Amino acid sequence: MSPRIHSDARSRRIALIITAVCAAVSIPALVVLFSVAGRSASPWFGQYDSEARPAYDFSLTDQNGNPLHLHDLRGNIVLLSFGFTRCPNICPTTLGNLAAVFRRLSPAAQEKVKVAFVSVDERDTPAALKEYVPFFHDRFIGLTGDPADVGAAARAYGAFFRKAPAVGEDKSDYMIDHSTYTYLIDPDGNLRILYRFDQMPEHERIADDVERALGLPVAERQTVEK
Amino acid sequence: MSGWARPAFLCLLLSACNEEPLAYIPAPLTGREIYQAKCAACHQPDGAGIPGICPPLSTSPRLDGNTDDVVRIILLGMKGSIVREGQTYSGIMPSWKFDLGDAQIAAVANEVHARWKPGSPEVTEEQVRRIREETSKQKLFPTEAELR
Repeated sequence: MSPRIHSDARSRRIALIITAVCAAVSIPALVVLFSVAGRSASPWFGQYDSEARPAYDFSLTDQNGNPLHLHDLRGNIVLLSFGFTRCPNICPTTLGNLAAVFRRLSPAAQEKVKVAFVSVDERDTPAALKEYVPFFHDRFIGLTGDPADVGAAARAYGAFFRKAPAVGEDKSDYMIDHSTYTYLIDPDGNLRILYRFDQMPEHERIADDVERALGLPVAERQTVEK
Repeated sequence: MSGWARPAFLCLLLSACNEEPLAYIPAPLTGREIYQAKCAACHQPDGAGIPGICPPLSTSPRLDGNTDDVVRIILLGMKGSIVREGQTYSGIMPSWKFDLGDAQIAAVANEVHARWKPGSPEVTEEQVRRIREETSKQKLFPTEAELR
């Protein structure tokens, strides 16, 4: 075999290796680019799941002491959050933001939207929720229940909570660490959108999502809040 | 994403995360920044509030009184009915005692006073520390009557 043939074969091998390395680097990069481009083109503000996944059908008790299952709300958008009435900041802020979103919806959309707050605190009775939720909106729903049922609901939605140690001598005076997501469940009972806590002040954009999920024309939304 | 692409994607994502500057973690320091981050959504950037929903700060009688009142409300929050300029407000203001340090509470209280009640005495970090201590056993969200 001549040295020339050796050299050609070696060049081909090097070219093949370079091509393979380029492909290994560029293909995942392209995948990332397309995925980012696809995400930015999404009409949804929250993290939208295009796959229809039935939301966990919880069975809890509302602020009037009546049983309420998620399936009772079928046909409506449900905006669901978990927390507790003694929460110093996250829950009042989230519910305040949800109230602002609700007020921005057209009357037709408001008829089809239920905002539900599930307390993960066993100290929160229906009566406590009945006092608490109207501070934000008189149409909001407060939910509580057997700790096992509340725990099952929280786990099913990926919500985390944990009783924090009491700081003072009064052991009943404790806080609860909890996750801060808000979940949008569509009228067919599918868990569709996840909102992070830091997204919640974007009232207009969340209202757009809600009306889009209801199949209403977003442009017709009336802004009733300045 | 196909099986082959996922590890590569994760790899790129993780390496990107390592390069992420820490600046995305909000660290408001000035009174104005804290106001924007914690107060403006309800009280509005101009302090006018939202009629019937969030009371105005710009015309609040609280700013006429002792600055301790404002600090106490920032620390404990507030709930229940209040009437301002003929409007009734019934809601909950969050407590910021766990989120904001003494200097930050002093800064945002001074920002509120400087904008809507200029000439008010300065709120100091020591003053906030004292009120935090005094109110440490108080329940969050007092009503207006309980604040008196």
